[in-house]
Amino acid sequence: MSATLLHAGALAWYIMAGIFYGANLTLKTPAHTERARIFFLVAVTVHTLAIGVHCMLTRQSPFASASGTLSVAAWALALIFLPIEFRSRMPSLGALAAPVCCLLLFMALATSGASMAATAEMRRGIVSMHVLLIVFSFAFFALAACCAVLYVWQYGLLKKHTRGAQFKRLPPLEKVDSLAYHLVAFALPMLTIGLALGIARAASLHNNWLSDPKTIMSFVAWVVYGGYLTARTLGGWRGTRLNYLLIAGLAVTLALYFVPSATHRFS
Amino acid sequence: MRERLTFPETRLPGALRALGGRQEFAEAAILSTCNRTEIYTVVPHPGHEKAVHHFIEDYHGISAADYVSHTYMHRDADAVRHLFQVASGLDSLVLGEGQILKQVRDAFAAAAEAGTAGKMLNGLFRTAIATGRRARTETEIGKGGFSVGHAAVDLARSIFGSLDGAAILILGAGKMSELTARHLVTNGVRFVMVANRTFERATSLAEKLGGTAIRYDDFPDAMSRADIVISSTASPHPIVTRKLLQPVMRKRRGRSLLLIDIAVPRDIEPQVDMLDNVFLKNVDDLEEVVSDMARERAGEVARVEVVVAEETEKFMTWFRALSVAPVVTQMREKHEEIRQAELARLRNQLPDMPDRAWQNIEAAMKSLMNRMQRDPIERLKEAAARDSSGGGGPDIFDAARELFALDGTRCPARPESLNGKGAEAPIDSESEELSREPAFQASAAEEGR
Repeated sequence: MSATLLHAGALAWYIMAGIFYGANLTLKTPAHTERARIFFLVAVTVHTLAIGVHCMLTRQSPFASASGTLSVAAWALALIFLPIEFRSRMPSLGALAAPVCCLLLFMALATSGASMAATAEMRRGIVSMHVLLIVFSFAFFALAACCAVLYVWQYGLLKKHTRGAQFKRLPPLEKVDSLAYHLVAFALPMLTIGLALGIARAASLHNNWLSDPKTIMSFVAWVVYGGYLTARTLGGWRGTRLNYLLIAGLAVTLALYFVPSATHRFS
Repeated sequence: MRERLTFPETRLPGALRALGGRQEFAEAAILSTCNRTEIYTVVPHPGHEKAVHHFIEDYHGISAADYVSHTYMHRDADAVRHLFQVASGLDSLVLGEGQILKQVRDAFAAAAEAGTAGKMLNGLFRTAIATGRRARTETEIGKGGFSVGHAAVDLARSIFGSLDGAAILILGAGKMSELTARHLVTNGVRFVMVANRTFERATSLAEKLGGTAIRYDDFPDAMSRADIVISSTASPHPIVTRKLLQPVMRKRRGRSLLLIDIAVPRDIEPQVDMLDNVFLKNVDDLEEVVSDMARERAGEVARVEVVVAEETEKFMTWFRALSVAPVVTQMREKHEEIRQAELARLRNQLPDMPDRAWQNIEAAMKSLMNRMQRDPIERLKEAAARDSSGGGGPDIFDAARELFALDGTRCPARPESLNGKGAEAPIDSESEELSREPAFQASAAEEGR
């Protein structure tokens, strides 16, 4: 069975999970969240298998292609979400996390025909670790941004004095705020180490890595999330503004992915 | 009428003994609350339902003609379903309220103590309690509540999640503040501050709630430490204004603050709601929450009915299976007697047979007997499960007795003890009728819905 087929299968399961999570959040009659959880679990299992088969067949790191990197990003997000969902029961977060996984995996499938960067550089442990840490930290940030969206949504409902069908299904403000904080607190050191590894490798190559747009955007992301953590831990700040900052942080990380880069091309 | 037919807790044991002492009932229990009086009985004779009315007439000294229009009566599965609905809160004035489950448990405990609850009512009430619990855990029929206090807890939870460790500030030591605060304290709030123009009243309320009284002039400072503020003063003007709250919110650094204004006229200026992370809720908002909760509970009725239907079916299957057991036991006993007699006869005829051979013969006979009994027993069980009326279908048990020549004079499902006196079921001219299954009966007097 090819890795592409398995990826498509995983996408189908993510879509099913997303539909059930979404229905639970938006419809007046709550759907079976237990089904959504099972679908999501199956999706992650199939996705893990797909990445494994891909690596075995190509004998390459999944980061050797944009498609593989996107797939790992979706997988990382799903892996981070699963324990949260099973421990804290937050189906409303699944209604956002599952579509993000779907989107990333769809992009991965759409670009799966592109050539792979089968260079010696990609086989270096330091480069693999650099990419892995950054991809995982961005998955944490993406999930934190999902939490921030839920916060802002519930905040708006509370301020509007209207209790729609969603009101009861959205998590409490403090709970979702605290989860977002913990996700960022976990991800920032990961991003820092990932960036440090990248800098160490780039410096040894003596190329013009500092002026690379991707590098600059990475530092912007680091500053945004560093600012969030500082305000939250040292300043004791919390509330809507910090959650808007998390949503802005996601915009920065998305921009980071799409900006052209000279130093991050290995083909 | 309701008051005239009630059984106060102090008189309940005597009433149960009087009810259980009547020959018409094999078992009996009384569920008497402020809202309902229900009598549950197991009647061996199908025609004895009216005996409940005789008991009520005798006990309360009231003619049935005076109250009968206020009553209802259910039999068998309908009676079982009714009790399960009652335990689930479907029959309560406040849909899904939890107190009824305790009252059902108490009614059963009283009947058990008085010795009027036997095997049937034991099974019935235990299943009813389990059904009530299941309805509340598997559906949201018991979620929330219908008071301002419940609404305050619901709103606070939508902001803070768990209320453990949350702090409340009460402005004005009135009754409404106290009730609302009490709900919050019951739900996990640990730090209570009370401010009132009369410091002594603040102290008194703080003591009741296990909190601290603060000087009225210090309340703005206390607001920076509180998560929830309940205001219900008699002030003719707003006491919490946007201007007062702005520096407080700066100190709070974006921490959410829930303000509950239950005063008329209002204590809190509406403009404070425009501040970031401030959530102002007044009586209208709280009433909307209460209405939502009522709607949500009403929407859960269909799900609870499914639970009730499942449990009723399970219970009735168990109940019907009870009538099979004595027939099966009699059949097995009779066949065992035959087997033993045949073995004894063989032993006399074959005295030199070695022990090993006897063991084989015994095992073979036992196996043969079991295999021959298996199908009839299965058919009897299936017939009992099919027989939804609990005795109205083809009387396969009578047929089984006839075919296997069993003793038909014993009452199969009648409880062994009657009123805790250990009385055996009588063997007399009524034996044929007694051999039928006993029926459940629930009678209720004057129940307000």
